[in-house]
Amino acid sequence: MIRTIVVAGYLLIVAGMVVSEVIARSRPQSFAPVDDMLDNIMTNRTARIGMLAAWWWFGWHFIFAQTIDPLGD
Amino acid sequence: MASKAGLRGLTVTARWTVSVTLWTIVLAIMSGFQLWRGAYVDGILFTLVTLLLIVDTLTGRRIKLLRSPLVAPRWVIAVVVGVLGLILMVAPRHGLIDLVTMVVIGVAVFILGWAPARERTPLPRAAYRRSAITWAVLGVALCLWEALMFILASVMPAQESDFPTISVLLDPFLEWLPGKIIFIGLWLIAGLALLRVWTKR
Repeated sequence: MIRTIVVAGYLLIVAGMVVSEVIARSRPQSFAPVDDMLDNIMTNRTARIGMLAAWWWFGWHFIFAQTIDPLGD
Repeated sequence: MASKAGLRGLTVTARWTVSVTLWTIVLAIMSGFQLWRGAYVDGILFTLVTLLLIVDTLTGRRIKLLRSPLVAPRWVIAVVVGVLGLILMVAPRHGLIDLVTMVVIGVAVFILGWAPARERTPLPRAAYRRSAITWAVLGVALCLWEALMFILASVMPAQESDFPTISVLLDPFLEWLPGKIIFIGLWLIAGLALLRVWTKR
């Protein structure tokens, strides 16, 4: 039961992202689509390096690093 | 503190704006969280990047890694990314080849991302602000939910499976070869999109 609520929490946030993007695509003049928004904020070096660092770390974490403890302790 | 300088058609703005301050705080929190959870390599890397960005901001964006932006034909970019993706897909997870490939990608992306980007303002500022706030709220919510599950699983190890982190949920998918290929493909495409290699030059 608790696990279901936790997974539902993740899915709710992802659904929020999808809905935001659908709304943005339908009225870009009042709500910028995510690619335009990223284009805009990434003109700043700190934001750009921050976004790229987060992206790289996501790959590093899942591809190379040990994401879960294989011994379970 | 604010300074602004033109550089061959590129605008370099170096000041402690709200955006710069918030991003610096986010990176500092990320560094602290990684160190706290015992991922020392991740924590040290984020700390170094954060410190470098702070110094760069304080010195008016004077740190340069390249004399001029790297320009490569799209087919070269596609081939390089394709080869790196293939290596990651074929190599065993958590192995030495993965480590070297990830370091190569990280260094290359860091150098390419450091170069100034062109200013773009095709949409109203309010549209950007609404979108940025919405995505920031959603991103922070995801990070907080994930961190909460990590903490709950740590303090209640007997109920660890009740509080899965994203890593726990995605790990079985990545152990499945087609899942690993899909993940690496999407991850590399996202990286290309963030670097704006198809539109910037």
